[in-house]
Amino acid sequence: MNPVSIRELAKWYGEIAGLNKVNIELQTGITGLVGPNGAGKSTLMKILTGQLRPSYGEVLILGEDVWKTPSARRRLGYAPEGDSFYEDMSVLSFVRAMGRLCGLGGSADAFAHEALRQTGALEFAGKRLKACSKGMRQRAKLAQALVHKPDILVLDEPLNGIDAGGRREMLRLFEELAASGATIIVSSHILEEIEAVTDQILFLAQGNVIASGPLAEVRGLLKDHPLKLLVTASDPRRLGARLIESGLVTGIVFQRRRGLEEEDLVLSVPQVESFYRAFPGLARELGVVVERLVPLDASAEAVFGYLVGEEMGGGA
Amino acid sequence: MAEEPLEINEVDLFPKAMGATVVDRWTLSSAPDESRAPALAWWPVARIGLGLVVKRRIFKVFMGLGLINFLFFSAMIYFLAGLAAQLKGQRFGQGPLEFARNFIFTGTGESYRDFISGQNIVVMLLLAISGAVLVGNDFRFRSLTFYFSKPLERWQYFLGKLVATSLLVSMLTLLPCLALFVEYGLFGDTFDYFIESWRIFFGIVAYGLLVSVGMSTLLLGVAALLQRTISIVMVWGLIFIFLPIVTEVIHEAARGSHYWKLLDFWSLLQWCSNAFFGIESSLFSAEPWYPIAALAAWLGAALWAFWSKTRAVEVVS
Repeated sequence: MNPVSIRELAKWYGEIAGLNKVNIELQTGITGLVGPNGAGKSTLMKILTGQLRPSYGEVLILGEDVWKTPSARRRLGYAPEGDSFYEDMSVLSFVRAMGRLCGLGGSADAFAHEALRQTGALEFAGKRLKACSKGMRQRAKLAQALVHKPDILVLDEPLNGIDAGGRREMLRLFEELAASGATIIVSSHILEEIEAVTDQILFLAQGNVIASGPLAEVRGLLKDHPLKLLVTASDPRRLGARLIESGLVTGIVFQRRRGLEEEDLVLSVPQVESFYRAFPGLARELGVVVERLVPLDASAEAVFGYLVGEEMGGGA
Repeated sequence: MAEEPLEINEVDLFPKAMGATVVDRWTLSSAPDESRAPALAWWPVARIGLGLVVKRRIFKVFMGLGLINFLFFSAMIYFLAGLAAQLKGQRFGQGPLEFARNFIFTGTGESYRDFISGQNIVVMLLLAISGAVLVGNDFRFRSLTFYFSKPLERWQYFLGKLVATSLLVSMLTLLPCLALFVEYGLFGDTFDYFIESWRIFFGIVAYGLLVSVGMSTLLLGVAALLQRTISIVMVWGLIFIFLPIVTEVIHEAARGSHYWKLLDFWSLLQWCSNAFFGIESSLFSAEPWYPIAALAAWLGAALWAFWSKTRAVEVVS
C-alpha cells in the first residue's frame, strides 16, 4: 500500500477548477511539488491534509480517506505557508498545543522539546512567537508538524525566510526523515533546493498534473525541447561536423569562451539516451578529448518552464 | 536501523537527546501512542482558548470586578449569620436583623437570580473584549488551518471554543453563585436549607448554564462573523445595550405589548431565570413558547453564523 493515494481528485470553486481529476500514488521519500501560482498546489495540499472537501475523488492516507476519517490525520504533519497563530504564545507552548491537538496527552511536552531540537528551534523555545524572526517562525511551524511523529509530512514553502545555512540544515533534516521511512511532500518555488534533495517531482499547472516522476525521465520525455548540452573538447569544429553527420544532434551553436580563442559547443540533442550511448565512441573515433559535458536545461526550473509553456499551448 | 532505539524518559530528555548524533524520529523515541480518546479532541482547543484569555491583564481586571461583587455578597451572608448568632435569644435587634436579611441577601431564588444577573454585566464586558482573542483571530489570521489539519472535526472545534468561553462565564456566574448557596446553607442552624431549597439549587445550575452556554454561543457567532475586537464590541453593545432600550421604548409606545421584548436577549434570559427559580412573572405568562422560540432563534442564528464562516474558510481557500 502506498502511503498516499490520490484518485480521480477534483476540486471546483464554482465554475473554476482548482484541481482536475488528479491521480497520484506517492511513495516513501521526498516528493517535490512544483507549479506556478494558481496551479492547484495549495488546493492539493489542503485536500491532502483534510482541510478541504474534494468535489470528486478521494485521498487515501495509508489506506484511510483523509476527509471522511479525521483520525487519519494523526498520521499527517502539515506546515502551512502562512504562519499566523497566537502571537502571545511561546514557541514551546505553540508546539506543545499542536501536539495536544494531535492526541498527545502528558507526553506532549517531551515530544515538543524533541521536535524543537530536531528543527533547531530549541534555543528560542521560550521566545514569544511575535518576537520571532521569519526563519524562527518557519522552524517553529516545522516543529509543530513533526511533534507527533507523523508518517507523512506536507510542507508548504518550508524554506521561505530561512537563511542559506538554515536551509541546508532543513534539507538535511528532510533527507534524514525520508531515509527513516517518512513520506514528505514539499512545495517550494526554489526549485534548485527541491532538486537537491529529490528527483521525484510533481509538476502542476492549471489544476492538472502535467508531469511526474524522476526529473531526468521527465526531461527525456520533452521531445519538442531537445536537451541542450555544453561540450568543451579539443577540436570542437570537427566534433560538431561529425555529430551533425551522425544525426545525433539537430543543432549546434559554437560559443566562444570569454577572452579566449577556444570555442565550446552547445548541442541540441533530441534523443538523449542514444546520444549518451553513441557519443563516447564517436569522440574516441575522432581522437577528440572531451573535457566537459554539461546539460544546460535539465534543471527542474528549465523543465518546469518547458512544461508550463507546453501546457499553455506555446512551447519554448 | 542497526542501532538499538534510545529510551528517552520525558524527564531526562535533554541530556540524552544532546548525545544523539542522528536526527531520527524512530530511534530517538518511538512514535507516541494516542493518549487521548478522539472523542475528547475538543479539550485541547478549549485549553488553548482558556490559556489565551486567562493570561491577559483585562481578564484579571474583569475577574476582579466579578470577585468584588461576590465578596460583597459573601461578606454580607457571613456578617448577617454572625449577627444572628450574637443576637440569638435576645429580643433587642431582631427587627433590624430581619430587615437587613430581607434587604441584603434573602437566600431565596430572587437573590441568586439577581446575583447572576449582576455578574452578567461583567460577563458581557469580558466577552466583548475577549471575543477576538478566543475566536475572531482564528478566522481573521487564518489560524484555522492549524486546527483543521489536525485530527479534529469542525464540531469539535466549536465545542472546544464553547467550553472555553462557557468556563470563563461560569467562573463569574455559576461557580460563585454555587459558593454563595453553600455558604448561606452552612451558616443556617440546620442543613435543612439544602434539602428545602432544591428548586433554588436547580435554578442556579440551570440559569448559570444557560448564561454560560447561551452567551458563549452568541459570542462565537458574533466573533466568527465580525472577527475584529472593535466590531465585536459594537455589535455586542447593540445587542445588550441598544436593543433593550429600543425594545423598552417600543414596548411603552405599543401600550405594554410584551412581544417586542422577544428581541431583547436580556429579557429572554430574565424570563428563563424566573422559570428556573419558580419566580412569578407577568412577562410572556400567556405564551411560554414565545421566549423559548426567540431564544432558540438567537442561538440558532449564532450557530449558523459560526458554521457558515467555518465553511467559508474552505471556499476562500
